[in-house]
Amino acid sequence: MPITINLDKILNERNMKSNELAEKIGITTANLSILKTGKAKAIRFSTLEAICEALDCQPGDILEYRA
Amino acid sequence: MLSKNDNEIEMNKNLLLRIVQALCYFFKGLISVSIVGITILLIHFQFNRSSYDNWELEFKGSKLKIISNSEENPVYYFGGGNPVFNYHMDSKKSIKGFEPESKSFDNWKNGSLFFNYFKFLIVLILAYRIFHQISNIISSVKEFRTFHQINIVAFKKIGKYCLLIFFLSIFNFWRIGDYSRASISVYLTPILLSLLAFFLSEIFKEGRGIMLENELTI
Repeated sequence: MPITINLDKILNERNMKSNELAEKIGITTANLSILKTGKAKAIRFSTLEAICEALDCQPGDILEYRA
Repeated sequence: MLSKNDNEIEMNKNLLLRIVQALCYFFKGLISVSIVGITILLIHFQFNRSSYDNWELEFKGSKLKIISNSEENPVYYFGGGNPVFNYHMDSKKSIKGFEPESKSFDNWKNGSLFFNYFKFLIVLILAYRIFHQISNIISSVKEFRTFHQINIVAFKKIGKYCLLIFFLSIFNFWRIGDYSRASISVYLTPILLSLLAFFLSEIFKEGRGIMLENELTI
């Protein structure tokens, strides 16, 4: 899929661990892992909103289109 | 909103599912008894043909009529439904100077007897397998595994079994005494059931795709 998730990069920049983020946004670590590895088929606006709020970033910082 | 536990209780209480499952068990039992019954009849017939000389076979259009020569004289019709297409060839072998053999069951020729026995046996086994698959599907629905891969396979199997029954019901061959009948009958019901099962299999496949997509939506 040409859409990639840059969650690892943002997490490193914010010095935050995956399980910490999962707890903050209220999803399981397994689901966060699916999202990070690009296995997810879709992402809900509510999840995206929660991630942006927790990481203090924009959706464009997390999602990237690569042709 | 109902929790998964509440849903489970609701599903187990679902009367329609329970009725269908009970019917499946009933038909499976009935078919098992029929399989044993026809096998016992065949074995008994091999050893004591004379006890069936009261029974006669009469070809009536596309159907068979079984007549008893006993005092009550009951008449039974054999063959289910009307075929959409039927072609039959009757023949009577007679040798000059000899009385033709009667159509009573004791004159049932072995070739035709075993052909009909195995055909009927295979149809019964396939019908048993169909009810078994339906029962499995209902069990998985009760366990919230409706769109599991096994249900897609189960519907495909039902479709294949119905298709086999359709092909098996096409050719018929009877030879009793000097009378014989070979016929080709095309019944619409098994082929329609087969198409319905394949159609349901595709619907369940689509359902599974949607379910997986939903599971992978974060």
